[in-house]
Amino acid sequence: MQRAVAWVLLLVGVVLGAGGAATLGHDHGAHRASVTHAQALSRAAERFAAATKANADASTNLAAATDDPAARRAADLARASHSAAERDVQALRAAGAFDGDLDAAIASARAAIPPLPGPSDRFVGWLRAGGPAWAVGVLLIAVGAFLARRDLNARMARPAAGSGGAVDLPGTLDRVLAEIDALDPEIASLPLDAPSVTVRARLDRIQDDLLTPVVEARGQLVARHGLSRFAVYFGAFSAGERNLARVWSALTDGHTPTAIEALRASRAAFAEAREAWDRVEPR
Amino acid sequence: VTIGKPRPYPELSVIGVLLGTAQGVVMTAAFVYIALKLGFGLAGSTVAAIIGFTLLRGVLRRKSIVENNINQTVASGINTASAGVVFTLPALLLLSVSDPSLADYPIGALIFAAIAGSLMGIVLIIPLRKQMVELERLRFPSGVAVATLLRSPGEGLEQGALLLGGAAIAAALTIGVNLAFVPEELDLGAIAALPPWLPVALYVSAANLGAGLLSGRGGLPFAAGGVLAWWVLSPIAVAAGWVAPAAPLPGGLADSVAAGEIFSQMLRPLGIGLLIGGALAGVFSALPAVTGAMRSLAAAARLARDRGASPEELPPLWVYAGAGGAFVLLWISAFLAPGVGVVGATLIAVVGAIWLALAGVIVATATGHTDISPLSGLSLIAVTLMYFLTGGNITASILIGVAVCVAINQCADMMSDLKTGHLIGARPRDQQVAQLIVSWIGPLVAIGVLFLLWHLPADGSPGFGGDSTACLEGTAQCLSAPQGDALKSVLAALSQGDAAIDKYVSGAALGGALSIFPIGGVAVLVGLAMYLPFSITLGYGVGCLLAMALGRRFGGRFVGRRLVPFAAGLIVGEALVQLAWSLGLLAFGGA
Repeated sequence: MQRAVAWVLLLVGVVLGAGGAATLGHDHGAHRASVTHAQALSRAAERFAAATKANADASTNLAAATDDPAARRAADLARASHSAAERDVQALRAAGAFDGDLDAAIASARAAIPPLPGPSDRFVGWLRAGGPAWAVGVLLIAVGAFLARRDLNARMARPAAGSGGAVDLPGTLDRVLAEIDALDPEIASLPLDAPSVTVRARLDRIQDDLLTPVVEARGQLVARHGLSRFAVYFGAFSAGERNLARVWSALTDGHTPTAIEALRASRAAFAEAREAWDRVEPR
Repeated sequence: VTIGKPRPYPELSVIGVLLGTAQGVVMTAAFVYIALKLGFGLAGSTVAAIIGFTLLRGVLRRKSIVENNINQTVASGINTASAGVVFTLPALLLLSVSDPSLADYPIGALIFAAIAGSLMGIVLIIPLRKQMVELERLRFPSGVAVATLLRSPGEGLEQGALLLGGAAIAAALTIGVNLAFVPEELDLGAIAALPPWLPVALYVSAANLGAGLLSGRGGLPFAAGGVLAWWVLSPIAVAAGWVAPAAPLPGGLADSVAAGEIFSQMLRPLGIGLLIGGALAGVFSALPAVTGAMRSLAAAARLARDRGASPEELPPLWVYAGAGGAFVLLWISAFLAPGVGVVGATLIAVVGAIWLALAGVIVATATGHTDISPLSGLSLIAVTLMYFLTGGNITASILIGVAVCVAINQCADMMSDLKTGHLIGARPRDQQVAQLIVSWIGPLVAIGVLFLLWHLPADGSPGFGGDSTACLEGTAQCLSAPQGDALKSVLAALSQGDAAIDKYVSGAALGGALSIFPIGGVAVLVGLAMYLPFSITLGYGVGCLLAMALGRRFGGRFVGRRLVPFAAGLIVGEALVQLAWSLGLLAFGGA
């Protein structure tokens, strides 16, 4: 229930807050509206002028080479483009965007642009227009976030969640350490440059079956212990994981001594993570 | 057991660093030119990893995944300066055409600013690595793609085939789009006769889809942010008349104008505000973990010293020394700018460094979740901040803009490289040292190439931009420098007091409130979605949903072993084809 309320508050708060934030102040809005109006007229005029010129050029070319099919096609295209530009201008006129001469309308639209409010006036203008909705939105988000955090912490604290929530980190670490102990003599007995496909496949399984599920569930661990205490054991866990990846790379490249060295470094890091866990959550 | 002297496992080797440096220098020079011509930058990691494969593994017979990782780390690290410099510095050069007083820019200050940014970007990432790569486990789709590429010699045939299959599909799609056989956007909304302010369009990009596939559930807030922006706020804005034109316009035109206004005046600046608020809250909440990380770096360094071994990460002393050195460089560059005194330089350096750090966190978080970096928006804020702080000093504003742009690019690249390193078992210390060693090279090359191109015409006319002879005559040699031109327009707008302070402030408060929710990176993701066109967000969201559906149907192992190499192939294929295409355009004058 608490979670549902939190999400509703979040959604309403985000829409209200972002909507309020996106609003333009009155003077700024008036300025932008005038600017876009003048720009729309200018663009239409530019398109019309360019199309007129292209049409004239194409007609001249066609007159010079009446039998040339390419010139005929170009002239047809230019005529069509000119007609389209002319229709745009007529549509603007019909919509009431301007009366009389287009060039004069552009000049008058530019002259009618109200001054852009300065940064502080713009801020005050926005505060009046969108500020209240924005403030309510921010408040709703904050309350929703507080409820969501409380709900998450309550779920993590339930005894049913077990050691470390859904993921059993100490148990996993014990299994990883056992796997590494089993791998050590096997890698140590590998000849230099030996093919190590089976060992690498076992490393892949440790990663996929044991380490990745812990990584995927780290959010629960953060919620359970807080970031600072989580960092104490998870930093060591990550170092162990990185060194296990080094074992994989070294074996691929046929550097067995480096693989052994990295495997032992990995073991030390996982053991450190196990000890750190016990400090954070004593048995 | 075979007895023999073990060969050392090469990682931070002279060959790896030299090869990476050579590639980085060539890529930086080429990408500066490409960005001036086409208006976008290219990432170097994927290309460097493949060249590293050919040269290190193929030609030199050096079998070391982690050495190739150093090679790509160095190459892409140097190349970060190309986008950082080319998105900002051209604005100063272009403005100097109409305002000769700006032509007295101090070159030394520019170089110091760019190197300060490069250095600060790297040291900022050292304590944040634990937080973002190890604790938060951000996805960094490009980092995963490069790791998949580096690991491919040891993966099975099936994974190799999936990687190649993904790359082939991406290549075909990219070529189709570039040849205009396939539209850049699949505009379903236009087919359904929906107005442009209610868009339903998919950006046709295999890499974007691949990033979504790699992000899965974690990327959903990004897609949700896009839905909120374009399917909720935009129709409300139109219905409430917030964007009505002053005089009536014909239907189609009025809708286009409304969509443009909603994006440029409302959503985009609001998105930047959310990014700022989200990052501030993120820094605040991660502070205990970051200070813990610094303590653990110090403890690890002490332990390693006691054991006579080298630590796996750089000790905090390097972080403090690097940050201090970068701050001094930033101060010197500000002091060398015309019209800036001791107090002004100190203020610029302090505010610049704070913003740089915050922007670094924003861009690393955004890239970590989505592979998309809001580079231009954050550089724009840096320039805006400095413009007001210096009372309209354009040279000083752009100097700090250069530093910030280089730094945030460096942050995103370094963090992505460290993610790659985590997945292949590289030592973070070696990657950090390699990148620090070459941190000065990229800025020098990028600034050098830029000035070379600017001063290329013998008659003293500008070498690029709309006023250059090549662009005025419309020849194939025209370098229009679109990003520099955009920043020049922003500076012109700022000089008229046009700054969206209201949106930045209200967005930041919303971002802060959203960050309290127990969903990782939610404010940054929603902000990023508002900042970008919806077609990108929707394409990415489709990838996320597809990954979730496949994970539910076939399980986590399927996602890890099959979907990841395929999605990595999509990213790698598009990056390679896009690079080849851009170089081809430049070589044959088709752009």
